[in-house]
Amino acid sequence: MIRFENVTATYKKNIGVFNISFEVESGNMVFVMGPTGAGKSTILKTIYKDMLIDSGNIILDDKNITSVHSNIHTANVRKKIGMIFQDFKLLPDYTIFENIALPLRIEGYSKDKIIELVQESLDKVGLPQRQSSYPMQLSGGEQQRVSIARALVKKPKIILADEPTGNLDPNISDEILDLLEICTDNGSTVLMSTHNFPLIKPRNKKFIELSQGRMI
Amino acid sequence: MIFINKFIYLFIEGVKSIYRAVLPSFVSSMTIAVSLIVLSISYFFYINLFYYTSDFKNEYKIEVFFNNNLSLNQGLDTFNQVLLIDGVEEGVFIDKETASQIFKKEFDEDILNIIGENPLPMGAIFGVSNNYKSFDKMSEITNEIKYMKDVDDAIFPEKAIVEFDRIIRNLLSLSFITGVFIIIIAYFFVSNTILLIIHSKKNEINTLKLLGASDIFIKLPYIINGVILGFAGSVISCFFLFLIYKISLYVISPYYEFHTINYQSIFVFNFALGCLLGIVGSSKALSNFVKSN
Repeated sequence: MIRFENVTATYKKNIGVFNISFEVESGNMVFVMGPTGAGKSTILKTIYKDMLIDSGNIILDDKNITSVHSNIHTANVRKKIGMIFQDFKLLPDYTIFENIALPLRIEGYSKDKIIELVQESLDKVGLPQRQSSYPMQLSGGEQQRVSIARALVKKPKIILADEPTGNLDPNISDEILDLLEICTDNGSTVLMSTHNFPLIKPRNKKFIELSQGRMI
Repeated sequence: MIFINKFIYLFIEGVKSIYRAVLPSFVSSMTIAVSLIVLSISYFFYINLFYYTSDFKNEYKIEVFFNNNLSLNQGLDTFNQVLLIDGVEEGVFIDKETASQIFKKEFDEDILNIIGENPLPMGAIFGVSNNYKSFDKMSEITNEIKYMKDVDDAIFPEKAIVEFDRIIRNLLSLSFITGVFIIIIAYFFVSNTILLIIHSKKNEINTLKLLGASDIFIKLPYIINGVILGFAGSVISCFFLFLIYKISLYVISPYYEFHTINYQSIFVFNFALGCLLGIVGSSKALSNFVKSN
């Protein structure tokens, strides 16, 4: 569950998001909609603690993470979240297997458990045969699938997807959304930012619309 | 178990990061190796210089000439009194007969044949203990002897000692400054090389942070990387030092007998300093990276 209570977070020159309140129930998928610069990524950044908020409260799974500042606590919050980015953020020198295994390595999982979970995750995104490849050998759609597999591998309760379809063709984008919907079937809460309304319209999901940092 | 799993992974990552940046890693290791070789050779020269100066200082003696009118017993009494002075360690008494023999040996002439009698006074040559083998201490002792009742004169090689002490002091200062300078250069080289590696991995580090990696998880592979570079540099340095040592023994030993050093201790010193340079260099690079981000 993700809950925002009157959250304001600003960059310099008074740009940011203002007085945002919403709640995403566990197992639901919600879109954050709006044009470029509306504050979609800012909302996600405040959740994964890449940006501190000025006022309000952010509650993640019944825990108030508003006052989390230190590196250790920030790392702990991030461990609970599966992150998906528009630019995939895959490590180019690592194989697909190693990229997906990273969150498990960070948690100190055993070798056997890592093999099992990575394989399971690769199966979910339909890339079981590409585990020895490197990111540059994959198409954009495949790289985003790997990014999703990495987010899913530790079975997080919360998945944040920051414009995951921004660099992809429409048909591939649809496949990515399908994958994210499957995550909610497994009980994960998904919050996804996008500026592509035609893409999310047929999904009939709740969405939060932003304009110049404010909810409409 | 979690800690062990993490450590094994991070250690392997530290090793992998070397072949992900082969050239900078090679340059860093070679810098450490060259620094350690130069340092070890400086140390070797220092030790040899130390032994050489000890040998040379053993020749520091005070020559004493007694008054010419003394009887043998009076001469021996004076000799014994000198031996009681602080710092005087040993002495050889020279009676008139021995003095004439020394004259004959040095000038190849018999003084009795030249003058018809032996005008040479009795005397003695005194050695001083190691703590007193400096110009100031020997001057002090020599003056004390000079003013004794039955002593005509006492001398020691003043100019030679002053000059020798000056040369040794300069050489030791030079080798110390060179050593410190080399360590500083190696330290900056290692730290800058690792900083370059870290900067080239900036995006990866940010991704790791976003995935929830702690600071130590991100830093440890680079520190391990530094230790491995230091260790590799030590291995290279030990290999070349061994070669240099064997070759120099072969070339120089006919002319000069080295005071050899226990090279196990040199190897241990090299490994310790190499790894330390790696750790300190990578830590410095990481702190610079954190500051600039």
